[in-house]
Amino acid sequence: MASIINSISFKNFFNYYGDFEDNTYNLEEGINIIIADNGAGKSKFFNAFLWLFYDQILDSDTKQKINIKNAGVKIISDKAKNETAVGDYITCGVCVEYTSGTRYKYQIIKSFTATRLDENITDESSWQFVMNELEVNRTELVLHKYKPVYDENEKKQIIDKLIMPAFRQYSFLQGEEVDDIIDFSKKESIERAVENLTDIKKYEQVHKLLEEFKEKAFRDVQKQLKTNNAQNERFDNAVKEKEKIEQQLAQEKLKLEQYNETLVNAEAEKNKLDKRYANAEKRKELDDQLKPLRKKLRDKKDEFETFLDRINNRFFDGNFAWIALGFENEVNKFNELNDDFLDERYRRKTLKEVEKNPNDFFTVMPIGSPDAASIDKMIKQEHCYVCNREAKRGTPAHNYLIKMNERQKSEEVGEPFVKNDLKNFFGDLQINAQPFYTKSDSIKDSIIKTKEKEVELQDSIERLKKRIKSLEDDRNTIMIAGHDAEQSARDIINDYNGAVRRISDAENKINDIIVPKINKLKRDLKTINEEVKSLNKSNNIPDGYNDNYEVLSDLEEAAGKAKDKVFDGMINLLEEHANIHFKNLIKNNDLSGGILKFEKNLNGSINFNYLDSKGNSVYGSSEGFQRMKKFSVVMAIISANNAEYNYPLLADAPISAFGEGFTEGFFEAIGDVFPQSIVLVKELYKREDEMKINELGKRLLKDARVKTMYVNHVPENAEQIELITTQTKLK
Amino acid sequence: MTAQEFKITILLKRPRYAKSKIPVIEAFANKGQSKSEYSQFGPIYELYIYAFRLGLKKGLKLPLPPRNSTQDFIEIGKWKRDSSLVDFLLMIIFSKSEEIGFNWNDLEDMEEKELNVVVSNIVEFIESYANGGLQYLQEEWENDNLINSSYLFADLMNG
Amino acid sequence: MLNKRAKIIKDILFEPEIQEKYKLTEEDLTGMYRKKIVDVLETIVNENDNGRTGRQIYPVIKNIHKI
Repeated sequence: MASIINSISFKNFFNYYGDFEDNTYNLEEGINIIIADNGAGKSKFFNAFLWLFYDQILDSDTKQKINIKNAGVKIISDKAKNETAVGDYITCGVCVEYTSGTRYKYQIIKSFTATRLDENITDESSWQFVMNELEVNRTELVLHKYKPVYDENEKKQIIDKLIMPAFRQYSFLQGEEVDDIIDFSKKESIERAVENLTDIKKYEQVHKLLEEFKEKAFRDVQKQLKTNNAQNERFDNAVKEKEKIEQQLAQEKLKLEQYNETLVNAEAEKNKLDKRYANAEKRKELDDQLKPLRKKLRDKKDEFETFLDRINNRFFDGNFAWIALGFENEVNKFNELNDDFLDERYRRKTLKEVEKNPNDFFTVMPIGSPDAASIDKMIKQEHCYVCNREAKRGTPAHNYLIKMNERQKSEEVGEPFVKNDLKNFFGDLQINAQPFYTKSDSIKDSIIKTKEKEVELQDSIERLKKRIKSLEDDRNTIMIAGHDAEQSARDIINDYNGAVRRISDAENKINDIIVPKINKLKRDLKTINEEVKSLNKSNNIPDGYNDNYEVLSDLEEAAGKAKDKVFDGMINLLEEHANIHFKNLIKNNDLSGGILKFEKNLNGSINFNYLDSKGNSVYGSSEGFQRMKKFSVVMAIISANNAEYNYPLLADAPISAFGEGFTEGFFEAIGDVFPQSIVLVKELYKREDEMKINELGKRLLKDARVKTMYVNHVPENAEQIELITTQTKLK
Repeated sequence: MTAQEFKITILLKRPRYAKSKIPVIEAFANKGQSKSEYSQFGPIYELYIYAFRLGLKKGLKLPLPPRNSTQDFIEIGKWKRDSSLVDFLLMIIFSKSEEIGFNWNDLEDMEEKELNVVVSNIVEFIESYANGGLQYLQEEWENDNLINSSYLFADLMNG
Repeated sequence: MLNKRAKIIKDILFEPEIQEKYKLTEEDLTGMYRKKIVDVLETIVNENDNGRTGRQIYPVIKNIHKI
């Protein structure tokens, strides 16, 4: 008769804004997957069940469980709070529906009402809280109509039936809590598991009684002896000796207990530090990655700001000359005007020349007239290359050449013939302005290139931001998991080494001194008991007393052994089951080929070690590896139960800690053990995808064992008061 | 007057803008200090030249109001001192000599007094188109037609 | 219920050392005549199941040995 959760709903609970109907997950028997990125509702699920079963939630700041009454304003949806007017109220709650067996379906609602007292939203004192009465409803499956359950005890039973208290620890596997829950380094933890699975308690009770009776039987014998006035000095001495040994034994056992306690504490501390050390290392690794990335981001942002500021400089910067866009016509006009100006200038000049020297019949220099250098040459060589004939000194041709020369020079030397000689004014403008007008064609491209550069810079900033956020998210999960303070790596190492030392000391003391001593005392006790027995045989007391003592003594010993056998038998069974699950879990990983071995410690606790195919112990502090081992044991505890396990599993599956190979095995394994599993994962989320899931997610979507799949969304870049979680049902 | 002197005469001029355009100038030129929500130029002359271009290209010639309603700013010669920006500007202006009302060759024969008049006309030409450009910018700004981005001014140039 | 009791009794009595010493067989668990050791153990297991304390059970055991 299994419990199957039919639906989980939230009302204004953390990021789940709105009524129950707006935030419902409909679930089925089999595997249900809920994909939620960090901050998109993963831990909220666990909090819902914590509230349901224990009226508690896990405070994300202190990492402590706190009573729902004290949780207050933090757990109410910010958006809902923001929309509540002063004087108005909102309700926050969780609702679970489940079916038990084939007849009934139940609905459990826990909620509270908060009335807003003033403008401040986040202040505790700005709200008044009233816990609402626990609401439990029941309906026949045939006739679906909920009727309230009134009896308080019955309500409690219904909640308990969802998952029996003793098994809750095996049904809620929230991330790193798995490690704490199944802490077999604590004797009590394994004992409790075995108790749940066997009748060992009965064996213990019987054994205890027999110990008691054995004592009583012995004292009865003694009493008889005394009344018989048996002057058996040897017997008395033997009894005294026996008592002395028993006392010593008790003392040594006490010492053993004390050393065991020291050992257990030291091991616990070491385990805690193991995690912290691993966390500290991982955190440092992430910090080392983050630091240069953050600097790079700052630099890129600065570069971007500067770039934006300078865009408008490009209008007037000669290298870009954007202002020149569209002035081609004007530039051409200027050149045209300049040419006209020069021509006209020349014309006016020569006109003036004619006015000044009317006798000179040299008017305008013909086009193609030779320059001064050529004329000089012609004069020297007494030959005109224009007409190609001689121009000897003294001839008119030669004089002609000379006059041309003088004209040329006087032209250049510039006897001013205008009031304002502006030729250079315009010429200089033309030359100087080149950087601007020569760029006209390329300005449009320049603008496009600038826009491209801007996009490029923005992209690289976004990429950096994404990368940084991803690393920061990882870093945050480590903090949450490791209960990490800002302890430096060195402190952790020192404490760690201290713990290791104490473990070693305690073990040595126990192994080398106390245990041998106890064994010796036990042997002495045995022999002295034999001695007492044989001395007894020659006494005159009625046989009944001796028989009584003997029988009880033997039974006591046998009961002790039987009890141990039950315990060991269960451990073996667990080992067997754990290995089956372990094989499944690591099926697609590189680790196949080894086995899990359960080893009993001196203090009664259990280590489970992984032995490779050659039988060598493999110690890996890799988080994923540890997690796998523990998952195997959890599932072994459940599957080793003779009856079928009838409760759902709610698990936070850290797929990333193992890699994809693990995931297939994981879903197969839990499918075999739990009638219903609700698995929360983040690693399947992919923002860029249309369905928001990655390749592995899509494969799982097609898997027949996966009955439902939801994806949680939180709006990107939303303000705190706008944060809501919406869920999309993919299957 | 030499070519140099002529140039200096122009460069010493301080163009004016209408006081009614002060809001738009403050919005779009930060003079290295204030920032508004819109894309900005730095010094006033940058915005002025841009507005001049805008006015010229759109044919928005708007003479300045009477002197009391106007204000001058830095002289042309100091507009981006070490660059040839002003030379380019003068090229454009002198290409419009017909509109402004003078002939290049005639300049060479003018007396100083006449040259000064030409220079004044040139300045008035600049002022009027700049004023028209600023007016256009102001209207678009007030009517919220401007799409603010880093390319605000580039986009306006295309329009 | 009964099965569990029978199992505990069997587990304890069939511990090799005891079984050999008292020469116990299946018959001893079911037959008419119970050996004393079987009687004692059965008493303890059953009475414990019924919620009796050691103080209440011990006299019954003494009775078995007629003391």
